[in-house]
Amino acid sequence: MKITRIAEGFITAAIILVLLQTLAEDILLITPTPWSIRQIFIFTGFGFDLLFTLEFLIRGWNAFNTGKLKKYFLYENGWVDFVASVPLLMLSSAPTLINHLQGISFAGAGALIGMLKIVKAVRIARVLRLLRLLRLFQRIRFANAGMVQRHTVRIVTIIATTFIVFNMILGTLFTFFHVSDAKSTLQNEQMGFAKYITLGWGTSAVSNEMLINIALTNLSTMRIDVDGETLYMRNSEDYFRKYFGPGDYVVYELDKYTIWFDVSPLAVSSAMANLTIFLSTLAVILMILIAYSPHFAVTVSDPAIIMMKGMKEKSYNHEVKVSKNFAEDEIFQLAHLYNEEYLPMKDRNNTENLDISLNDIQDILKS
Amino acid sequence: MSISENKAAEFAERLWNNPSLQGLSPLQKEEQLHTFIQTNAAVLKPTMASKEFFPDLPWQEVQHLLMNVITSMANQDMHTLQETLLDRFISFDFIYSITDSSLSNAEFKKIISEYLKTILEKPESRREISGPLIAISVGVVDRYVSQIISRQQYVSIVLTKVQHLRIAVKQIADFIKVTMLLRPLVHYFSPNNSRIQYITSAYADKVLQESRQLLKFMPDILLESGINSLLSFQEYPHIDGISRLASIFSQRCRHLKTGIQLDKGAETSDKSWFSVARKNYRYFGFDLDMLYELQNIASDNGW
Repeated sequence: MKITRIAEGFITAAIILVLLQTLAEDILLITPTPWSIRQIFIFTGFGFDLLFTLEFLIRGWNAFNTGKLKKYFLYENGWVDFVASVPLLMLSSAPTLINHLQGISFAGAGALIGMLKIVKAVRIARVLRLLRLLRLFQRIRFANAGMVQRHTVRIVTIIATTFIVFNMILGTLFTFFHVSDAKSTLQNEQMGFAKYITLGWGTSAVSNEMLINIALTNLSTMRIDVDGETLYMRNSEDYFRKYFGPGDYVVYELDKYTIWFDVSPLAVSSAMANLTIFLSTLAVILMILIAYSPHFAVTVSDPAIIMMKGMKEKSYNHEVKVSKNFAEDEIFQLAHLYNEEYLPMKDRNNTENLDISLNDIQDILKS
Repeated sequence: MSISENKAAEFAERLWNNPSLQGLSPLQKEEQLHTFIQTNAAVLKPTMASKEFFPDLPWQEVQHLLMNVITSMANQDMHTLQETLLDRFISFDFIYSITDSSLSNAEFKKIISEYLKTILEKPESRREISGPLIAISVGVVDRYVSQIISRQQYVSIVLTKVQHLRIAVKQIADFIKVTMLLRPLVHYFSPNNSRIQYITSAYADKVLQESRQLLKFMPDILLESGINSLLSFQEYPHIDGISRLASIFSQRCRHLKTGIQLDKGAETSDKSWFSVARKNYRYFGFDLDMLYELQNIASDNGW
């Protein structure tokens, strides 16, 4: 029991940390942050995803062994555990870690378009991390009545999941359609530049001076090498080393030319979208907690609790406050009957109920 | 003390301190625990026969033992409560304003103290004294009387214009308190195991005669006020206002649990009680107009 409590506490702490990491990761992408700091998150992100995948597998295995797999997956939000762990590990953190360890920057003209789409799709999958907000929310006990807790969690889960998953699905779909946006403009510029060199290479159409001039107008060109000699460099070598990691640029190699293109704006735009979704989801959860949860308590669970206590305890004589605005609700119609019929009847026959029951003295009887 | 008595005391002590009984007075606890032991005999009997409890005693004896211990515990707490009540919550000064009694305040206190001991000996009157003692100890009477007089509405008119009480607010409250304490005289002189809701005036006269023997120096006006509080207002609409209020406050505090936090979405305890009492006013013989006014007071003050 104690071990379970410690494990649950550990997982809750991990969820809080991973949410902070997700937030920090996106903020660091927007603000120029040294790669040495950002790469730490590649390892920790992988670690968290692995931890949550293991947690899901252990919970799933335990549920399977006790014949409660369906209950765990469908009714105890096992599916949230799944969606917020396994796909992230497979689609996001594991490929990112492998790329990082191999020092891969995407190369080859034919692969350029495809790789950009994959980079984008992988980034979109990171949105699923926000589902961990739900896992945290499900663990917080914010209402005395189990009914309020369950209904609020259910509503938050539906809204947040729909929001996050649809963002991911639509985002992924959009990557496979030609849509003229800021990302595609960047991509087109880089492709046009690469095409120009490919077509003009070996002819007098491309001179070194022309390349430099074009590179100066194309801000995403980081560096151009010709025969191993650096022809153009947007920033210093030290600057690139400090601020750029493997996923921030693509390398295009064609015979004597090697061109580095900056794709970090893609990550920035993706981070901004993620932050928007994250904060919007958080806002939805908070609004439901602040506005809906108390409303549900006042109009459903509180009257039910009062009536239940009135029926259980001899000396409990409190009437239910019937809200004028909701007097037609079934629960308040029931409360009206409780106030008008049950309590007077109980008062006339106040010998049957006791404040103490056998359940209250179980510890005494067992000792 | 024998081993069985020790075990019974230990068991009763744990029952007595059970959190579900928190906020109840000693007599309420006693009543609840006695009923609990009787109604749950089928479950308790085999458990009590186990070697951890009373393997050598028959259930009847165990039950008797436990109930006696509980009564002793209630008596112990009652003694302190009684002394505190008479010292701090009641003054007998009002008697000199409505009678020509020559007894001192201390003598009245002694008479009431002895009377309470007597009343507590009989289960029927013991049960009935619970409400008045709670009403006095939690200050219900004082706070309502103060509001009643300041409002100058129905109840105040009944007391001052109909009953012609020309005494201070505090004295009116003390009059009601003493009336409430004398109510159980009816139950004390009633047959054993009887449950009295209200009585007839003929019965009240008989109780009054018996009461004069028991409380020789107690003025008739007080005895009558206490005994008449058991008359139904529907049948006897001319009973005085003090008796009507004593009846309401005694019943109100009969099952009152103190110190309980108000649940969200629930009406306050007093307001709820008066509202329910209004619906049962015929059954309990209450004055409906008084209940309306008291409910308004409770509502306005958040009681």
